Amino acid sequence: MLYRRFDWHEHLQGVWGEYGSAQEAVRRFKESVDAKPDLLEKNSPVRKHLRNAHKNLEGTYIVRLFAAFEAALRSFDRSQHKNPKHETDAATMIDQIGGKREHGIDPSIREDAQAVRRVRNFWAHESDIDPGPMTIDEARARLQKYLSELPETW
Amino acid sequence: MADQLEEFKSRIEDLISQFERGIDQTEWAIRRYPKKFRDDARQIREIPALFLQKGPIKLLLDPIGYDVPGAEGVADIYLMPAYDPEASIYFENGQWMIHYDVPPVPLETHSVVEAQPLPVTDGSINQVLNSIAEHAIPSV
Repeated sequence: MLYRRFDWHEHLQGVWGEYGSAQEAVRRFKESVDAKPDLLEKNSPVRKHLRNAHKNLEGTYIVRLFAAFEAALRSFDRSQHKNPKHETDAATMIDQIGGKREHGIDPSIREDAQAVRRVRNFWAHESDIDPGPMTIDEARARLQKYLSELPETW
Repeated sequence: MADQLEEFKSRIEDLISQFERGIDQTEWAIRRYPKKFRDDARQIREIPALFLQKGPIKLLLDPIGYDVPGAEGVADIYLMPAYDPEASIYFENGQWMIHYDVPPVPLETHSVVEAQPLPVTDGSINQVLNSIAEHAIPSV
């Protein structure tokens, strides 16, 4: 099966776009409930988790964004190894993937993607190491730039 | 019931043809690329996107979808390769309209100039693309 880099770019962009809509919806809903608490039943789980849902939404979407990026890298890595079950962890793939025509990828682009991976780990694994703040816009730009270093198809 | 995705595809093809005809091709290199969409039956259909390049500035005219509240379709213009959003084009009231916020002039107090949407014409296409190119910072 032939994979197109463009499709992976679009997949990441779709996740990023969904975040904007979800963030606005949750923000407005939280404001409505803050102004009129009886919109929700007293014991509703939605009420209990609304504040964290709002606070953590960007991290949640960064996890999804990185999962889409990692899937793209894994697809490429497996094609390079000619093994559909080949497993390489994300950190290694980011460091070792060769780029177009096996030319290298600029170390700064690799490091930018590794920084997003550390943010993903923070949100997904409750890592003790705080990687510092990163917006989803920054994460999207870094991952899209890395992907653009791969060949058009594989 | 009309096939909304097919109608959207037709509108996007009209939009892209308008860009291809209207753009100053002495300045911009262009190339169509098929984007995959899943229809309601989960079948994949292809709708064109358009890559545009002027020197180091690379843009993508990217069809987004038809199921947009308040509009019958939308496409975005992204600065590549980071996919930074630069402008949006909505199909509203039977025509494509470009929504583009002109970047701020340094040392002025307001952050962006919220421009009125412009109908897609040869003039507005080149005006917006050239403004994006003028203000963009190419990352590669």
